[in-house]
Amino acid sequence: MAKKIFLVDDSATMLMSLQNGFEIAGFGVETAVDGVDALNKLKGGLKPDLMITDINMPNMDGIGLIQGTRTLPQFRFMPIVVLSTESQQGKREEAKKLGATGWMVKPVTSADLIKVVKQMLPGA
Amino acid sequence: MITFEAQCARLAEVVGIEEASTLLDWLQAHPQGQLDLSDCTHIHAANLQVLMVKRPTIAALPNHDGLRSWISAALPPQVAA
Amino acid sequence: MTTLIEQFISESRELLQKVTDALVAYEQSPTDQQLLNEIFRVIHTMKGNSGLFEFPEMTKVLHAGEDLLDALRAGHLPYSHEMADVLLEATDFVVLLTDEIEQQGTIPAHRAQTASEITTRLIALNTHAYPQAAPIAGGPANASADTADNDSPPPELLAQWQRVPPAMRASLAPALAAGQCQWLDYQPEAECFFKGEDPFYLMQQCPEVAWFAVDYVQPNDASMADSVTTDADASALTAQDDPLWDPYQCGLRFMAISSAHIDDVRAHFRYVPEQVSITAMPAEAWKVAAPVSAADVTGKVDDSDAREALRAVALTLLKTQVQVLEQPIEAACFAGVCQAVATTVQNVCMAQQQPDCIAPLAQALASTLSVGEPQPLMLYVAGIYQQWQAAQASTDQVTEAPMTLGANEAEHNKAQVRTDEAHTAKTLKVDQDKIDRLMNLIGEMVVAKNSLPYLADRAENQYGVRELSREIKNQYSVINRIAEEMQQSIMQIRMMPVSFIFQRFPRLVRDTCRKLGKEVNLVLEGEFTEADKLVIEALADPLIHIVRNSLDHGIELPAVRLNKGKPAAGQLLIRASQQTDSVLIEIQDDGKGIDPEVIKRKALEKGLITEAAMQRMTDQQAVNLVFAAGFSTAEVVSDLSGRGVGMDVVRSAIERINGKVTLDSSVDQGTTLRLVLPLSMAITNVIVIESHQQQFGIPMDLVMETVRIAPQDIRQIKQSRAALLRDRIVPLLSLNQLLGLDAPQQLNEQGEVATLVVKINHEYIGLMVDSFKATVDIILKPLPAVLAGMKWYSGSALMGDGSVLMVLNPKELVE
Repeated sequence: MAKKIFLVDDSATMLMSLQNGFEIAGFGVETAVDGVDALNKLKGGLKPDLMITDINMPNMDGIGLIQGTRTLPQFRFMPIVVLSTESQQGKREEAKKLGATGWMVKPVTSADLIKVVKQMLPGA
Repeated sequence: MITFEAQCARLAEVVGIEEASTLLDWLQAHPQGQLDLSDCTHIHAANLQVLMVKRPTIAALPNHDGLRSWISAALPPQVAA
Repeated sequence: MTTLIEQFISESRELLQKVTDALVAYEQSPTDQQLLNEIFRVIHTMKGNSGLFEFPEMTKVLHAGEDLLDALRAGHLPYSHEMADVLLEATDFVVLLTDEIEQQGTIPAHRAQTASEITTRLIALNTHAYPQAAPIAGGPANASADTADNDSPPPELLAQWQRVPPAMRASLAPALAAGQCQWLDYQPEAECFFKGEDPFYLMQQCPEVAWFAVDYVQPNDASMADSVTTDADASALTAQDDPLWDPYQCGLRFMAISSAHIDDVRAHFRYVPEQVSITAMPAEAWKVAAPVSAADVTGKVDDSDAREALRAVALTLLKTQVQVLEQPIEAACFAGVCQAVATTVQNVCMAQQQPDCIAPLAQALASTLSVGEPQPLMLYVAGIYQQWQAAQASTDQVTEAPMTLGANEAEHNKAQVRTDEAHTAKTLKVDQDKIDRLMNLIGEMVVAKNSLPYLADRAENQYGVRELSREIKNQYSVINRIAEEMQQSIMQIRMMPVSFIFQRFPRLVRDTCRKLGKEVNLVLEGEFTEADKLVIEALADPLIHIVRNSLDHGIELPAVRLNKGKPAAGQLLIRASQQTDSVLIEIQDDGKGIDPEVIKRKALEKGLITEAAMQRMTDQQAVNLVFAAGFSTAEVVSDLSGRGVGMDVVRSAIERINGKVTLDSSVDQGTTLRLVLPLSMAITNVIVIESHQQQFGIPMDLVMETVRIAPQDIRQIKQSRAALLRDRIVPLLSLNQLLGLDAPQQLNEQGEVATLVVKINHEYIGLMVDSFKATVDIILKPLPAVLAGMKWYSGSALMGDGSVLMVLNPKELVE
């Protein structure tokens, strides 16, 4: 089974870039544009193997999304990768404490991300 | 993925974290149960510690080189009871 | 399909507009933290996006802007007009870069200079000592790793070292002697599974592991010091009999020796630095009794992940190149684009150690350049792409079978995403060209459907099948209704809100006021009023001109206003509202107004009116003189509105789209301009005919039929000619004659003359022309003022090929 990656970012450009890279690498990709959208999709039956989320987003940011995701029993163990900027060390640590598995610093290429994802998803 | 038979659980490919509680339950219900890991490529750390705590008989080690060496190190053969 | 760069450009435009709006709004209300967060977030997103491409100039400026905004956000700095100026300038600069990227695909070299200047200014404003960010990867060096410099390993470590089999110790000796070994002690926190971690998998992937061990100690979320004293066997045994033992509390402890560089090991564990102790093993402390065997320690380099990641990048690059070639390429850039694609592919091939690809690649490039078509190169690159993709699928042993499934899955997921989008998308972005094409098609369809009544007539009169004729007519009315609805719907798609223009005003007003030293409150109303895209586009320039005029000549300086007893800040109201079949736009200021006496005097001076006319003129008429050509009241021509363009230009621009302008003004009360605009541009269906080698359009609604009349059917009655058509005597007029052209109408091969039967004032008239061309839908524009006297033209239209079609006004023509 192809592993399913859930990309959450409010930038359509970023989503497109990453989605393209992941799909070429053989992953399935689902996307959401902010935390609220993402949580709705997770509650609506989407079952990704790993979630990648931006921190700065309107409506609900990445921190809120991580908190919300970890309260859903079916996602308590799902790896979550946070995308942040170099200046957001505080946010990264907060995200990690709330249940993020790892982070990548923007700008990030899908190749870098795939590498991290493969280290988190056995069999990917 | 785990397939449970009467006295043998077969672990194949990647055994995910959600399966750790199932494996634990089965081992508690089948104290003499054996494990066949031959087709296994990876077990999540939660499964590893289930094996380390419950110490079931390993009927077959994984064919996967990396995993076999780790499992051998984690579960050194015990003196047969 | 949209390419990434297209997506980037279109998103950038949206984001940049948002930033501009928000920056201007924030200057008005500097306490609005939410607004500031929004600005920061958007700039942050833009910076992230720009980092996906090689646009260092853009990234640099955005980065400096982001830092400044971050300091503002944290409350370290107060917001100032200077900051607003520089931030707006930076935004403008990024807009400029976006334009250049869109047009040229790259940023011109000389922009680097400007980028540096703006960046420097942004940094200069960021006076708050901004704390330096921590290193990106690797995380902060953790305390336990500091023992690296310590020559004697801790006792605990020495105890664990005893677990390493003697043979292994011996084989590690050379690496140890070289100081290349790291001792790793990784005890994951108890809750780590709930952070999506798999410590076992992480450990297995640790680079260059020479020896390892794993113990079950006990779940530990306190400090490491406690754990190392725990007896591993005892812990496991206790847990074994505990019926409530929780497999999801991690109690594992991993130890390993790695011969990788300490930085690489740290980088590998960067997400859990506080749970791992990494100690460089000092050479002297590990002396082993056994003689050093010849056994070499060969570094087991596991770089399969890196190779795979690179392959993925290579595939992405190749795919992008194919996409580049799929897009239409302008002739002027063709060779350059193909060359660039070939170079990229060549680099990718070299990086993937596939030198065999180079020669055929060069061939493909050569043939592409010689035929001037991208296909040969595109096919070759697509070929490599497929080949590599297949290769990648088959080399992955573990997931070999799933790979094929994977492709299906990916497809499936993609389809799923699309369906999801269809459910959630509220708006759909469509290329303007596509809508224009839809417009053209519906135009053609309307014309095509119009032939049905003629067909019905022929069925009845020529073939005598009345039944069929009636049915055709019935069908026609159905098609006609649908076509009309369709035309209506397409017109609706073209409707745009006036906010498209209005959104520029806050910035325009701000900048202009800063320049003039005036204070103005801008009020925008009815931004969501809609009109046809062409109307909106045509409205932009006149409206900007009007607003500049108001700021420049209307609203007074604060001191002057205070003297007059008005508030220091003037008010400028721009309001759009929808009337039955038009849009009303009012621009109202509370400035000094227009003095009719001054206008009259000026007009007299300029010879625009006579003394007598001036006496008779009402004030209302006088102020409307500002619309007269060549009139300008400005005492000083400022660089803002006075570019030699007066209100006359505004008027003609509005009239060109069939709109009207009126003006009300009273001294010291202010001025109100009203623009009445059509909701949609009138689409006129005309038939194009040729006469004396010139093409003309004639509105179809006047044309009853087109016939070819044989010379013998033309009757000469005194000075005029006529023909008997459908039992009716129709007077014939030659178009050449009407236009004063000294040439007879040309006849076709059968000697017939092409004639348009038009109905004018309830009379049928045959207009003889040289030949009929096609019927087209046009947007009729009134003639420019200079030609306005030529009443036999109702206007002109710009044709698809760029030529101008003159449209005749048959009513005026025959009189």
